[in-house]
Amino acid sequence: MREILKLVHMDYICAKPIGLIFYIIASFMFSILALMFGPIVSSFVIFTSMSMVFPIQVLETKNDFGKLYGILPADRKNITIARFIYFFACFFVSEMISIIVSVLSFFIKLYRIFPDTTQGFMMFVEDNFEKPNYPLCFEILAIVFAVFCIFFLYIEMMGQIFGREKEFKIIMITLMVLFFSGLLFFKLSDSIFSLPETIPGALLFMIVLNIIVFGVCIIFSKVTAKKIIVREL
Amino acid sequence: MENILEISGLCKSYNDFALKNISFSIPKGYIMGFVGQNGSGKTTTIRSILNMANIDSGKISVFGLDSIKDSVEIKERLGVVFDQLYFAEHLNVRQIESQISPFYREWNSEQFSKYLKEFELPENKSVGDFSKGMKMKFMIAVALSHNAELIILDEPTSGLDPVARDELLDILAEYITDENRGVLFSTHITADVERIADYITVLHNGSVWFTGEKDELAEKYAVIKGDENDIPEKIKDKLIGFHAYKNGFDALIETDVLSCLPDSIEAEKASIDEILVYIAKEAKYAGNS
Repeated sequence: MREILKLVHMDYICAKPIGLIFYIIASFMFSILALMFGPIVSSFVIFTSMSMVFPIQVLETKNDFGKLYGILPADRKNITIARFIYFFACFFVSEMISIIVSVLSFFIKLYRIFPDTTQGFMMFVEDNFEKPNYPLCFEILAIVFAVFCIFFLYIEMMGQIFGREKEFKIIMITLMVLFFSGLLFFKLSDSIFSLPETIPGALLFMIVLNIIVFGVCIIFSKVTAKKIIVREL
Repeated sequence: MENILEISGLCKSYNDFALKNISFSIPKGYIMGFVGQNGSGKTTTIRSILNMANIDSGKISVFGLDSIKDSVEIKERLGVVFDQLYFAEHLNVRQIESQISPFYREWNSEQFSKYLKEFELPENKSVGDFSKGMKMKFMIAVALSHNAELIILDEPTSGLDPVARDELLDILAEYITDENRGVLFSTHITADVERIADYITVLHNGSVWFTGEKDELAEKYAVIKGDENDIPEKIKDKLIGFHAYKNGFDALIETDVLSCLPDSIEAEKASIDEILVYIAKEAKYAGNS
């Protein structure tokens, strides 16, 4: 476990100079927008994790990390597992930030600084704050986290197994599959299940979903490690 | 003499190339030069030692440990320098230190800072912007900062100017003053090997052509020149890389056969460079016949 954490730290140091400032600024901006326009806007904070995840994938194509992994005193399987845990951690941290921001937004209700909240879009915003649906908000944040995290973990798995040059094709095919699956899901969702409508139910839903995503992360990492560990560096 | 590295019967094949039964060892306290033409198998051998290539058969032991089962422990005590930088090029030296120092129990930050100062490596510049010589020195600074007992260098001087090459060789000579250390240094620039190596292994076409003390190799072969008609019949099959031209011939031969040669044939000690050239010629002519 210690070795995996060191490897996660290594990936973080790699991504930090490229992505951290953008991540902080973008997260801050979306947080302010969430405080003003509604907690759902805080889900965009989850998207900003891409600035800490994407550089790692790009850097792998530009630098000869194979030799670095070859000389480091670290188990090759752990190098792969750590990469997936790093991606999960980036999205998880953003999810937590978005939850905190959404809770704060319900209390701060920054939309009140606007002069006229009685017409059009601002009426919708006011409704969101005055008749808050906490459970739905948390559930949506957890779903956004789950979808994005699993998407990026899947892309990483495909990229490592089949090669980065095929990543673009894989991304396009995956997006199409996700789009049509999403449409089908929304059509059938009422008959499949309904989301919990209480706060404890929503929290349980979030915890279970996070555990599932972490489980997917570990499965993808082990599958990838098994495939690539026999390859030469 | 205790060996710091032992390779025995190493075989590794690819589609168009194979290492065949590579065996050599490096005693503690010595530098081994690992020479051969481009494509002779030096880098493949080094990658096999580092467990970066999957070997077909054979045994490699470093510090008495198995190179496959004990790979992590070996790498803890090993420093490696490749011909190309293997760190993320957008990072500076301190960022790279914070990345890799946690992996080494004996990482010495003061020593690392000392090497950065000695090698005049700027701390705030991305390592990708370093010159080739600076990149090489940086890799050496990293290799020397965790008390590595064996340093493996794969063509570290290729692309370096003579001043940078000289500096690198001085660093290695100083490093080996500790008798518990060893250096394996692969190169096709034989002048570097002649300058600092104690032992030498010559690879040719995936096989070990010679392994032993450098002085032994230097004394073992001579280049002979003269009239082709003066060559005694009994030694014609002992000539290596025989080349006949309009005014005579030249070839490589073992020195213990020199006494059989007539005075009309000139002989002079062969340099490592010449040995490699004649080995290559031998293979070329064998291939053509």
